Amino acid sequence: MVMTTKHTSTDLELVDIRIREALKSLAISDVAITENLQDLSMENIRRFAETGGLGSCVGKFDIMAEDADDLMFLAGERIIVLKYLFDDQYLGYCEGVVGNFNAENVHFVELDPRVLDSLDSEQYSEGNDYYENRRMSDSWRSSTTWQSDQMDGHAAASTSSINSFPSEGGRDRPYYSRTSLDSSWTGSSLPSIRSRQSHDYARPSIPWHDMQNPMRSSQSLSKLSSLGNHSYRGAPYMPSISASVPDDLESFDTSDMNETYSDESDHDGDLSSATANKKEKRLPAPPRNFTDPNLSTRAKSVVSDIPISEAYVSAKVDKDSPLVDEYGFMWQSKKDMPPPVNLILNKATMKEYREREVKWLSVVSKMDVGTAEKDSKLKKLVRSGIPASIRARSWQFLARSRDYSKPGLYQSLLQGAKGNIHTVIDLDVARCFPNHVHFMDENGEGRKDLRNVLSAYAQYNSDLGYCQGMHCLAGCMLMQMPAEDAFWLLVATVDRYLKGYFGPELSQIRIDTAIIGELIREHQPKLAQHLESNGVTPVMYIPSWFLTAFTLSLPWSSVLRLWDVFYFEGVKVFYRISLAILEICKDYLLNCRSDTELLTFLLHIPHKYLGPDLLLETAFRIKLSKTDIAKYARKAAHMDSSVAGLPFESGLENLKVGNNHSNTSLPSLKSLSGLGKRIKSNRQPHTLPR
Amino acid sequence: MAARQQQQQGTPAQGKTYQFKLVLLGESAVGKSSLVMRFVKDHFDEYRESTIGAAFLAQTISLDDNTTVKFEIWDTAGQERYKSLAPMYYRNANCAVVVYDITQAASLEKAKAWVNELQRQADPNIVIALAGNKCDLDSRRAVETETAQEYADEAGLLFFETSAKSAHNVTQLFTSIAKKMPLDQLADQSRNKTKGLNPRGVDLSRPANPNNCACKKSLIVL
Repeated sequence: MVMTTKHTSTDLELVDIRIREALKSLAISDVAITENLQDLSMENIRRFAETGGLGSCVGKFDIMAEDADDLMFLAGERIIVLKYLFDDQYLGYCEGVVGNFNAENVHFVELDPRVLDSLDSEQYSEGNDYYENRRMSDSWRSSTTWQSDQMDGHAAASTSSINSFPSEGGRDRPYYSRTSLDSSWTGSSLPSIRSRQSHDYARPSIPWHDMQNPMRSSQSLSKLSSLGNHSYRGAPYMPSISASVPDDLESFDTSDMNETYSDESDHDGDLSSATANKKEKRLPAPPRNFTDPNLSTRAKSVVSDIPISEAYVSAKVDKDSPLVDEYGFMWQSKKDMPPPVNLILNKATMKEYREREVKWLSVVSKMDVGTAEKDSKLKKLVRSGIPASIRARSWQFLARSRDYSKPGLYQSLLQGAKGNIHTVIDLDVARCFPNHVHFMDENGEGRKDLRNVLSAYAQYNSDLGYCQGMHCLAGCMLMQMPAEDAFWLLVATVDRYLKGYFGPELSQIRIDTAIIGELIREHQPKLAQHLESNGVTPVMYIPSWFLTAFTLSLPWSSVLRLWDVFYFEGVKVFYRISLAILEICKDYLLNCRSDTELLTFLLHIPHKYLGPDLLLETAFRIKLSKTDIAKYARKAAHMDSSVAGLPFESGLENLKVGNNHSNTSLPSLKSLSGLGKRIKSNRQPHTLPR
Repeated sequence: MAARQQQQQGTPAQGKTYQFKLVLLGESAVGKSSLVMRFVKDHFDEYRESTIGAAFLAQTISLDDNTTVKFEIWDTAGQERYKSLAPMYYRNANCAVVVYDITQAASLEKAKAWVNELQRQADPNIVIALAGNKCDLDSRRAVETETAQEYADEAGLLFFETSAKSAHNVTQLFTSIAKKMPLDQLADQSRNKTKGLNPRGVDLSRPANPNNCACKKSLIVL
């Protein structure tokens, strides 16, 4: 339904047609991008795309790649136009991948203003709405870094906001937060961040969002203000940004992506992070600097047509400004920011990534979740990470959140009476991922959604109400999906995967600390002995790991990979990850000679040790069966005085959720992999907008 | 700030270092973590993540040229539901800071409940301080200083109104606790103590975890 929505606005058609004409007529032969992908350096292409390419368009449909040179994209996804090829074929860049696409499958929404500048202005008559609008938008565009011709003005603006940073901001690290001792952010810089407007923190528009708001897209598109560089109101990462956009400029403007990209490159090309790509798409390795021989050649040739020069880029370098990583978390300095993990280093990994994406699309749209759970191939697929573009749908699919959802219930729960619980919720809403762009604005959509989801849950399950830790779960979900979807996923997660964890006695977490104690003794006897002799027990670190689903303890790249597996295999993966963390840190811990040293480390493990690949690999090498966990649960319930008498049944039920360790695989992925090229989204009704 | 200076002034290698376990209790969002953060890092975050489970940090202060006190601080989650975990943290605590928010009258009631629980369940010698935090928000004050002071006197607690944000009274709070600890007596006790959350007899003369500069170069003398 959404996918096939036709934008009928005359204005939109006009924009589309004119941009296409402009691109075709543009003398871009000098641009050092050839249609032969084999000859290209990904870095060069990406570099060009980051700075905006020639413009951008938005996919009308989900397009599967037919051959390796084709671009795959989803409806609503933004594609940077790199070059006009022939007929209706263009070269585009989407989510870190370069490929050919057909103009029929997209809407051109924006032509890079620098390209416009390079066109003969006489080519278009004065009074043309398109350009009128563009000029109009220039007036406020000057407040963003994006326009090279506005650089001076901007530099002044940004400098002043930097100066307004509290000077004490970066001096000390928060001693606990989702960051570690190794990497810290500074919340005190938030106010000034807000004042800096959208551009630094903008994120690419998100496919699900577009899909779910077809009307909004077409309406705002029809305003033609999309030529500006403001963000799309309501897009997951831009609540505060959109708040700063004048009402009459509310726009479907995906160009924020450009800004993000350019900002990334601003920081010595550490753009990888810049991909600020919530979807965790893979990007090529970041260019280390502008002296890259290929790059400089490339930059020169681009400059001939389009003013993308070193000067332009370096003028925008703003070394003191806070940075946003690929997941939307802000960092005070580049040194603190984790290195990007989602890199596509070559064509083979890109191809592999795209294949996984296709498989996942097949899974969530065609497979029965019961079948999926038993599929050992799918298990492998999950463990290698769900592609970011499919992640929200996949979590909901695996968690069966659709089984829980009842149309209209979420909205009616929101009408429910306010009670004490809401005050408690508000206290945590203000303290949930405060360094994430989605939640940094006090009055932003992110916090509003979070409050709504948690309040609705407290109404929905009044026995449980609200328990601290749920806010971390809901916060993570809201980074991936709209509020109502997040609500039902929270319901499925708390009621099915994490039964007993958030109840009045926190009984399950207390049982878990006993279970983990036993597991460490079994798997790491030497470490167990060392920890015990120093008086360090699992109750000191396990609650903060489990009750937040590790969102406060692991680097975000690992959190997402862990959640992928969690929704497939259930809570068992929490035990695995706990053991894996201890194993990875074993040598360090064994060298600690006091409880202070041990605890200081364990409660703030530097993120660099806990990257997703090592962590998951270690976790899945550990031989751990649900039977063992159940055995220790029973033992704890009967033997351990600190948990004796607590109900351990919920824990055993949790263990039944998800993949049941069966190796019987059903024919599934293979038969699904030969998909047609176009998947209509309405085959998957539960992912449609409500 | 002050804590840090004191730490530098002191040359603990020459004197005695006493190690105490301190637990922070109090209702959600009264500023427990911020107090610790101010004390240990002399830093304040307007936006700070909720504490889930518990957080741990250590800080060393010098009382005089010969006496250094090292606090191992357990900062706990405030929500009522987490109460069931609290005994794990206060079980072997030598001292406690019970925090309320001067702008929230209910938070003082909660603090009183914590004090009762500590007096009933914790180490009978535990030193308890009551801290009325957020005193920078005087215009929104809901708990009068006298009210709290009266209660503190009655219950035999140290009492300070603090502001983690402005750093008001934060160092004084912890220093007063340190001074109130029966140092010699506790040192004797701890000599034989080998189990529990905070075993003594740890040799801290070896350089500590570089991440934890607060306890570097400390010596413990039992």
